[in-house]
Parts: sequence; structure tokens; C-alpha cells
Amino acid sequence: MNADLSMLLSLRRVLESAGGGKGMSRSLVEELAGDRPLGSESARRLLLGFPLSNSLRPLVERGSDEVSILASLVVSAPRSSISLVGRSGEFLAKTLERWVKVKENSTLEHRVMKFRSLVTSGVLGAVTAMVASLGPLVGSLDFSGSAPPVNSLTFIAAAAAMTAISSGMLGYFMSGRGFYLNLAASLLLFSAVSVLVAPLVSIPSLTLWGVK
Amino acid sequence: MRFVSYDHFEVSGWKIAAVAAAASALAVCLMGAVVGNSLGQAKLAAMLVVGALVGYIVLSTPRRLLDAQKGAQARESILISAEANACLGVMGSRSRMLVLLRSRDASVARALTEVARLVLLGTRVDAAVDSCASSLASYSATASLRGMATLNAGGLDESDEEARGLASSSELTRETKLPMFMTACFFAPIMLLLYAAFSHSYDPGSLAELAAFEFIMIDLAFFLSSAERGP
Repeated sequence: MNADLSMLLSLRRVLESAGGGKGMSRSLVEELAGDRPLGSESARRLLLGFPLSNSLRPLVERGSDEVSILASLVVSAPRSSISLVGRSGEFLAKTLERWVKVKENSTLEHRVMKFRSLVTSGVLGAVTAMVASLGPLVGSLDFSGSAPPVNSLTFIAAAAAMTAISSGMLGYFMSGRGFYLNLAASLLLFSAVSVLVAPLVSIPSLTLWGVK
Repeated sequence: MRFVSYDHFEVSGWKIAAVAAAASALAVCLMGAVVGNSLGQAKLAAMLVVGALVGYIVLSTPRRLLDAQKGAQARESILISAEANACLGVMGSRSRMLVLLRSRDASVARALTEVARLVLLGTRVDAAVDSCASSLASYSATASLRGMATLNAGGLDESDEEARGLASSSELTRETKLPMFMTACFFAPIMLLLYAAFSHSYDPGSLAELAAFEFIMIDLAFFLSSAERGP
């Protein structure tokens, strides 16, 4: 089960038992002791005698947004009434569970989009390698005979740099620090296609001046 | 010039426009220096496009900040409503409840502190809430704060609805912008390489200028595509 969802369920059980008249600290220790690492840390702090606000600080500060909201409500209980917080927290817990489920679906969709960006980077590498290898050849078909000499190595290096910029930015957009996967996919396919197309590039260019 | 986001942050539209014009001019000058003459006749059009995009980014910064604040406050208002319900059930006093409420969001916390200060100074609860609620960006945060002043601290459904609406809108924006960014990333290097091949720009200087131009365009596309995350 999703870690956030599991933590929310634990906190919801805490609120339910608090709403039923059970002590808040006792419920927290019983429910959170098994939830590693944040839940068990909070339970340990409670058992050491820290106040509720201090004990639940790991959940409030380091937990996800939803866990933090519910933990903040639990922390607010001593300022009002534990049983009332327990009762009003049940609806909040259900709402937050719904948010976490929506977030989980979104994460799954994002994973698919990451794969698509990886495929796009690979295809980009292959296409730019093809253009970089064959472009100068097509560009040199000049009927006036004044086509400049082509340094294909420089052109291929520039194409590799442009591919790296595009795929790196696409990877950074989709995966953050995992951008190197997109970079690797595009440069790998770029190199492979460049090697495969190399025999075509070695054909000497013909001067078409005077050909009828 | 009157825009909701400019009014919310109390910034003058003309000042933002002046900053945007200055940023655009700077971007155009920098681009002119970096790209050189490798783009030929298209250079002027490319410079105008870059200037316009930079201007748009500067002009729309308050709107993006406001959108980010709205989302955070709508999520926070659900917690405030639940806390207020519990507090009100115990105390039955609006002023004591307002003084006891805490928030994790900076702008909501500022509004609550201001309300508590006014209440402690002797202002009527509804007047204190009215004067501070307008500083919040989210409708549901404003509504839940106003609800507290009328002994009706409900609003959980309302907050949930707004938060879900904002999340769904953000998801749709992402779904629209991602293919656009992918297209820009895919076609920019191919088009520039074809341009270099057919315009016989084979010297390392021209190729480096084209790579720099590609970087500028993709960087701008990146920023525009991820704009909902806030600057």
C-alpha cells in the first residue's frame, strides 16, 4: 500500500478512537509504532514523554502534504477537545485519502509520460544523426559547383550537442535529476545511427557543373 | 491596466509593464550578441519572438504566484475548517476560537494573526475577519474564515471542491503543455540542422551560434511549459 495512504489510515484510526473517548497519546503509540520511519519516530518520542506537538513534528514537517494536514489537526487537539477533533477529523481524513488516491493516479500517468519522453529522446537521437550524416551530402548537390567544403565531423559534433541539449531539457522536465537517462538514450542512438550511416557519407561529392 | 493578480499583490500594472519591456530589451540584446549572424534574415524575427516571450513571462509572474497561493490556501482551508469546528464545539466563543487557530501556510497564518490581533484590540469579530479575509487568494479560505465569524465554521465540502478543481485544472494544463514542449524539443534541433545544411553554415562558429539559439528557445519553452509550478 502507498506509504501516505497507510499513514493516513493510521491517523484516521487514531482520530476514531480519540472520538470514542480513548486517550490520544495511547492511540498514537498503538497505531504509529509500525509505520516506519516517521510514524515509529513519533511513537518513540511520545513514549519518551515529549509533548504531542513535539512528538508529531516529524509527521508535520517531513510527511507529505496530506499527512501533514492530518497530523496538524491531531496536534491541535489539546487546544480544543480531543473527542471533538476526533469526530471532525474523520471527514477530513476521508477527503485527504481521496486526494492521495488522485495523486497516486497522477503519479502512474507521469510514469507513462516519462517512458514516452525516453522514447522521444531515442527517436530524436536517431533522426538528428541521420540529418547530420546525410544533410551535408544533400546540401552539397550544387549545380553551380561552388558548394563549400564540408567538415562532417564538426557538423556531427554540433548535431550531437544540439541533441544533448534537447533531450537533456526534456529529461529534466519529466524526471528532474533523472535526465541522464534521456541523455544516454538519445546519444546512444545518435552514435549507433551515425556509425550505420557512415558508409553513405564517405561517397565523394560530384560536381554537377555541365551535366545535361 | 487592472488585473486581479496585480490588484492582489498591490503592484502597479505600468511598473510591471516597464520591467517587462526592460527585460525584453535586455533579452533581445543578449540574443543578438549570442546568436550573431548565423540566422541570416530570420534573426530579426527570432529576436522579436524571444523578446515577446520574455515580456510575457515577466507580465504573467503575478498571475502564476496567485495561482500557486490559491492552491496552497485551498488545501489549508480544509484543515482550518476542521480545527475551527472542534474549537467552536468546545468553547462556543468566536473570538477565543480565532485566537487559538494556527496555520501552516504563511499567508493564511498572517491573516489569522492579524484577525487575532484585531480581536485582542477590541474590534468586533466579523469586522476583524472581513478586513483580513480579502487578503487571501483562495475563495474557500476566504469563505471558511468568514464562516468562523458567523458561528458556522463548516466549509469542508467547499474547500475540497476548490482544491480538487484547482488540481484538475493544473493536471489539464500539464497534459496540454507537455506535448507542446516535446514537439519543441524534437523539432528544434532537426530544423536547425537542416537550416545549417541547406545554408552551408558548416563553420564551428555558426554551428555554435545555432546551438546557443536552440538552447535559448528550449529554455524559454521549458519555462512556459512548467509555468504552473510557479517561478
